[in-house]
Amino acid sequence: MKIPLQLVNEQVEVAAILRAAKQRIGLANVNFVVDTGSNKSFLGYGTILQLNMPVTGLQFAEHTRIGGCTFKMFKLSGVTLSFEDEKRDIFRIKPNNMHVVVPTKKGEERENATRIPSILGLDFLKETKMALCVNPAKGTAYFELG
Amino acid sequence: MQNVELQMLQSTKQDLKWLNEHYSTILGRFNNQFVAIKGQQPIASAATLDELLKDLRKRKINPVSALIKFISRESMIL
Repeated sequence: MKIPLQLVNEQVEVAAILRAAKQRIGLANVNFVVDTGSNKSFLGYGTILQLNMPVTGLQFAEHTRIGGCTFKMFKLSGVTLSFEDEKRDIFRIKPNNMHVVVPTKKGEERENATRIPSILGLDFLKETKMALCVNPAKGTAYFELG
Repeated sequence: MQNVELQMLQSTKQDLKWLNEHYSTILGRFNNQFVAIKGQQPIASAATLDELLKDLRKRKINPVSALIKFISRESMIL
């Protein structure tokens, strides 16, 4: 089974539908950058603002620095991600290792934090047992399962 | 439910494909701005995400229905 990915400005991206009942998010479009250099998958601060997602009550995981900004990282449990596979069927996953990141500072650093995209990292591939196949020269990319 | 999800995903994927194909044009028009794309066209832009979301909500457009991207000539290394 393959999930086609998109190459946008030389980044690998995937469109997903997020459901997070605890955060009262029914069905929401979320766009992830696939980044195997990241060991954590997370919803970026810009996505949180876009979704108007409450972060109060989430379990604090750690402080982290991403793209020159310092964030508090919280664990986001009970979420479902839906993807479209190559047969145009829906493939749903309930990742156990999804997080959200919230900047610790205001002002310019907070503005910069809104520019950092949501990321699917190596932890996501490991948990879902999916392989990432990318051929930038041909403009093709996909997740492969099984 | 599945049909709704498929429609949402296909719409976003079309917008992503459109953005990739028109990236240099969008970059020329919206450098260092947040841009909302829906229906394979830019529908709003602003210098900050807060301003963009405020504009969309004022126009009764649900921000989650649009593809929102920060467009910049400067590359971001995560």
